[in-house]
Amino acid sequence: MVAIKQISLFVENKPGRMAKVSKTLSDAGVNIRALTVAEAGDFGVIRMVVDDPGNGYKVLHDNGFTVSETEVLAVEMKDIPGGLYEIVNTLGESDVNVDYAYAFVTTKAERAMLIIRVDNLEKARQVLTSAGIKLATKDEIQKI
Amino acid sequence: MINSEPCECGRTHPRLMRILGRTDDMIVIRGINVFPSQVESVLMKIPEVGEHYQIIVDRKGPLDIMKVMVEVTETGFSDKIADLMSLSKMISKELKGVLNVVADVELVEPGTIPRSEGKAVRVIDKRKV
Repeated sequence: MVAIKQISLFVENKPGRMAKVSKTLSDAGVNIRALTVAEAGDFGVIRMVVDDPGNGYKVLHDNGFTVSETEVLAVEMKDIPGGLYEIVNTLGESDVNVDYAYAFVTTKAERAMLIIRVDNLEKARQVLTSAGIKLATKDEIQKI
Repeated sequence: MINSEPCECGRTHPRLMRILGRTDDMIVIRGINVFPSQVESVLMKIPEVGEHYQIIVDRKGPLDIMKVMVEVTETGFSDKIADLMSLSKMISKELKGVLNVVADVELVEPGTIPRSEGKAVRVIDKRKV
């Protein structure tokens, strides 16, 4: 399975909350690959991809955060205009819905990485692979 | 609390449940009597939130407003924001059904609501007389 684990956190929309989250991860030596914060009034949801999701989940959970793990896809994207279009168009034509997505550029700077959460993981995997788009595995995310 | 379900013995008349709190805990919101224990009983039926809560009563113009803060548990936490929004809406609806008062529900992180030590401060009344 090529799906990777994303850590999601429930946080109140208050000063210092993100600092506490990042301090917890930094103390545990967990490195954040990509991160996004969605806000919804009084609270927000932090979603992130880290190098060691197992450990990341554990330290956050042990420190009293409301955490959950979600399976997402990490899609390799060409770092050129139209790179994103190629991926989302493939998904759209196959009727796979993207719930949310966020992207980051790898340090090699040739490829960008798109993290997507879709309604149908298996189908998304199939259509992307058959369109010649590469999905990153857990190990690859760890090694970046 | 009134229990309207039929008793095991077959009696169907509404009965009194175990005593959950003192009547003088009562607060009056827009002329409606609200017992904090009613809020507790609603929350206990919802597995996505913990049983700890705090009620904040304030006044907006001439009207009383009631806010209920509840803690999200790990089982209730969903990655999708829409799910969390509908959770707070659902709790608000449940509270309205029992209390007959519209209450804003605010989801907070577990452990942020002060725990009871002896007497719990469940209600914060910010209204000025």
